[in-house]
Amino acid sequence: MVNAYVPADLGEALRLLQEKTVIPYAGGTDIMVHPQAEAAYLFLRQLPELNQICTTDQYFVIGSAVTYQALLTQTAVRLPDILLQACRQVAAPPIRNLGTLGGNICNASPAGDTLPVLYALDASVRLARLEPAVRDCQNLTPTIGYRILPLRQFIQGVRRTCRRPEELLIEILIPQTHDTLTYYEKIASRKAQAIAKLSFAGAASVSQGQLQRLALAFGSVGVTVVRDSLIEAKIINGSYDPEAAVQAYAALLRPITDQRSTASYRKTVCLNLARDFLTAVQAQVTAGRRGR
Amino acid sequence: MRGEALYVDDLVIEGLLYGRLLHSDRARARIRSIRLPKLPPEVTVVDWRDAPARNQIHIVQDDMPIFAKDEVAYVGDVILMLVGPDEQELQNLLSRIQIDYQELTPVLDPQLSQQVFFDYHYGHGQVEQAFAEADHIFSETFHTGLQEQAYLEPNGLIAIPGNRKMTVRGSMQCPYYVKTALVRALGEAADQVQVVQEVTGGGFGGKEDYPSVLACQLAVAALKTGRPVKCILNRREDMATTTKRHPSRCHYKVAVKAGQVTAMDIDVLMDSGAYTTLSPVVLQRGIIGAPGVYRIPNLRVHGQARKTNTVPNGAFRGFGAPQTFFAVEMMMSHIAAALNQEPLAFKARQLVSQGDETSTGGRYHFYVSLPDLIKRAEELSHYREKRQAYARQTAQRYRRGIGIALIYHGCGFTGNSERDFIKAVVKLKKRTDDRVEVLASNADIGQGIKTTFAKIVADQLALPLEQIIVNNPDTDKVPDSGPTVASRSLMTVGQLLAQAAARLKQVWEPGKEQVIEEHYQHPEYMIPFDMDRFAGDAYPTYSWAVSVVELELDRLTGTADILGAWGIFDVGVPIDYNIVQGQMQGGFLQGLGYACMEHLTYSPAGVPQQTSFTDYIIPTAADVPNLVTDLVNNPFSHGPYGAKGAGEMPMVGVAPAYLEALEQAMNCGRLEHVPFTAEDVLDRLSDADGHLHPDFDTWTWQSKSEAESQPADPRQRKG
Repeated sequence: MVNAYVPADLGEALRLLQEKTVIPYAGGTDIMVHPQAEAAYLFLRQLPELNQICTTDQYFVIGSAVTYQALLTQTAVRLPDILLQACRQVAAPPIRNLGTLGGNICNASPAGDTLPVLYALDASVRLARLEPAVRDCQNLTPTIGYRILPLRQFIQGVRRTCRRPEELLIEILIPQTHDTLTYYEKIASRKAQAIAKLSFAGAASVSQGQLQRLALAFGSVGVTVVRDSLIEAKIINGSYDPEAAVQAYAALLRPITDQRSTASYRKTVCLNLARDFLTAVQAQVTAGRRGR
Repeated sequence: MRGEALYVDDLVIEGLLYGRLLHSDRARARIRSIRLPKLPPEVTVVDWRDAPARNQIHIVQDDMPIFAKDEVAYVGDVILMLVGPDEQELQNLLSRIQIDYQELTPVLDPQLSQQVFFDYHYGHGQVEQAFAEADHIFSETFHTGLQEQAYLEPNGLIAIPGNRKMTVRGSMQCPYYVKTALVRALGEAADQVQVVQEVTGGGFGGKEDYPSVLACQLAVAALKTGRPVKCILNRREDMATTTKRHPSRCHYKVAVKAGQVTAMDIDVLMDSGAYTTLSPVVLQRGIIGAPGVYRIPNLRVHGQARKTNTVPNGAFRGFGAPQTFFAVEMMMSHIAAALNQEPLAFKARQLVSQGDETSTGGRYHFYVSLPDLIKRAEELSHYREKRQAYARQTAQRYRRGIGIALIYHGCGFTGNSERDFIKAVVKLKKRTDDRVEVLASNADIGQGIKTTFAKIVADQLALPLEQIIVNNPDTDKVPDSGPTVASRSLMTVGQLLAQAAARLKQVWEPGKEQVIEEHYQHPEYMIPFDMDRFAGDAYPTYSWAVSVVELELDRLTGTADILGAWGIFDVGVPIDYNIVQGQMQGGFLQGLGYACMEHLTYSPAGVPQQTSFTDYIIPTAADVPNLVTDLVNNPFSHGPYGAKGAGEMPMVGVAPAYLEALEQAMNCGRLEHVPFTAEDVLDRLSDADGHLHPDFDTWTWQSKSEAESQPADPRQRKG
């Protein structure tokens, strides 16, 4: 017998999460691949708090139950192109109508289509839970407590995050950067309905011939998306030219061979794409210097 | 589409029990002992001891047991069935059965197999002399992979015991094949056997032979329990344990003199898997088509199917032809390139035409429409223009290529089978309400045979379509008009129906029940086929096709986007234009999957590695957004309204066309196997910086005059 809970608001959802053993269910597109007959599900997609898209001074704020299709069709906020590019390549329309950004993160698959982009954009997640009621307080309404974690810290391994059982991922925060170059490739065996063999997201901000920000993120080549700040720093400070950086990534990436692809293919393509991206970045830097 | 169709799994049957199969998880082993958990009283074990007559399944031969007795021959071989009222309980019990195996080393590579199931030779002319006199001799080896039919509805049947009668209902292509297998398996345990096809969600050959296997297993279970027993395979089970397309290795040696191919010496090896199933017939069709659509004056063909400890391979759209047509089309293209000729021009100069001898010394009795199809393909695709333009491209990351392939389908059964074995019979039953029922054993498996049969009969009788009734075949009601295979249903059975309807019209009496029966007659023009020598007309006629693929390769990722795809087909005359277009488009995608995606492998222990749609990738419409399929009419005098075979063709030519396009885009030499995946592309591109890898480059080229002889530098290909 499957138990289902349909809370009306965030507070009720968090209370259920605290009181019962439930599996948070946003779009269900990953959960329903292996449905559990005995599980209890906590449905989230009707919660208004989890369906907002807005901006603050610093961030794009995306509710965790916002679907890919909603991200692609909304006009309220001008979201980074590279994120939309990744959303367009998720599965096919039926999945995009149900699947959510929060679900993609909490499923924590190294092949999650939006994850390399979110890593490259330095995204964070906001988690909420009910704070334990304070006994000597008159007001018995429990308060909601929040914490914000960088996505890179939140996801810990294959299908492993540091979400506590009573916590809910409610928002994704994406800093409003001014990237002058972004680059996204999802490599799969076919154009639609496919799990990535590997994916790559690159983002760079070049201003007047100066590389200000750089991010390279690789999906499906490790237990989590791979990003390496040290290599990025060395590229930014000029210690690595593109080829040296590619060599550094070659030493870093350790993909596996499985039923979908081979380790050598994954690695070769990652390095090809990184080289291509870094060459374009370098061209932008050089052009900027000439322009000064 | 109304969603009203009931599949076998939807049927509600009183007292139904479920059957779950215990599959071997070893590729080759003796069974020392089987330890069952304590079984609840409602659960019954069914195994080889319960087979009432003989523990064998009749397909072509009888080598496959209903239940494995003391040895297993592949991962998936069925050892026993648990039968009971609760499927989940059966599944739990199955996982607790312990089998003590004595493991033997499995043979997974047919080239290393010592067990030859079938061995055929044929040929004509003076092969040795032609090679001695040749200007050039080329040879190369090609490989093709496994392919899964990937029908939407998995295999599933229900066996219902009656009073000395056994009824089997479910998903299938060939009710009378299933009936014959059941009659032999049950022997005297049943006086009557009835087989009923239910709505079937696709077959592609995958429900030609396998339903006979499951039917025998279920019938034995129904006999033992006295209750109806149902088994619907789950997707992983179906993909892991039921028949696939035969992998092949084809070696070609070709003599060229004065720019013409004068001889071919061809050696074909097919991987039969653990049992023979339909391998002899698949191999026959494969080797008959091995010289392709070309006039080859001197020919020698050798074909073998050998046993391996893998899933038995069986029928699949094209039935041996995709393997050899791939090889011969690549071979011809490679020779053209070596001789600095444009491949299409080289091929077009040696096409067969009406009146020519076939590979088996029969005749192309009818007009060969290939020149018309090529012309149409060029109009639509601008093949030659693009081929030349892409030969000059200088782009680094994205490079384009275009390729073309020419193929035929030998329509209907191979040889004299229609005359000697099938002897098709159809009936038309006019009811008192003047509605006419088509009684034939051909199954609608999504190819639309109900529609086309009804259209033929309605037109002959000048009746509205609604007055024609075509039910799913039930062997208690319909005569044996043969199986649903090889594009014979419409061409052969459809013609019988047209004749029956014409006769009915002559004797039509309103308000009276009338039955017309029509029997197959072998076309008088056919040169009788000698199966031992492969001599005579292998097929009554041929359908023709040209496939063109244009793609853009990303050299950084090894992936290719299809820019354009064209399939031009001579199916005689289409009885239903939309149905034919649907077949052609779907088949083209299946061919594309075969060419570059559908990768199915075994672990060293013989365990299939891709057993779900997540891991076994078939193309979707998004992969070929701009597919154009077109028909050129070429009526067949002996088919209904001029119709010939259709369904196989779109599958057959795509792989060679795709690979020729990919070769041009990669610009680093010959390609020689399918599926050619993105992984293969990158491997080859990185090798191309140095030398071709000797393992896959089997190409040799000898020229008569040493001065003319040059090493074939793959990077200097022309055209």
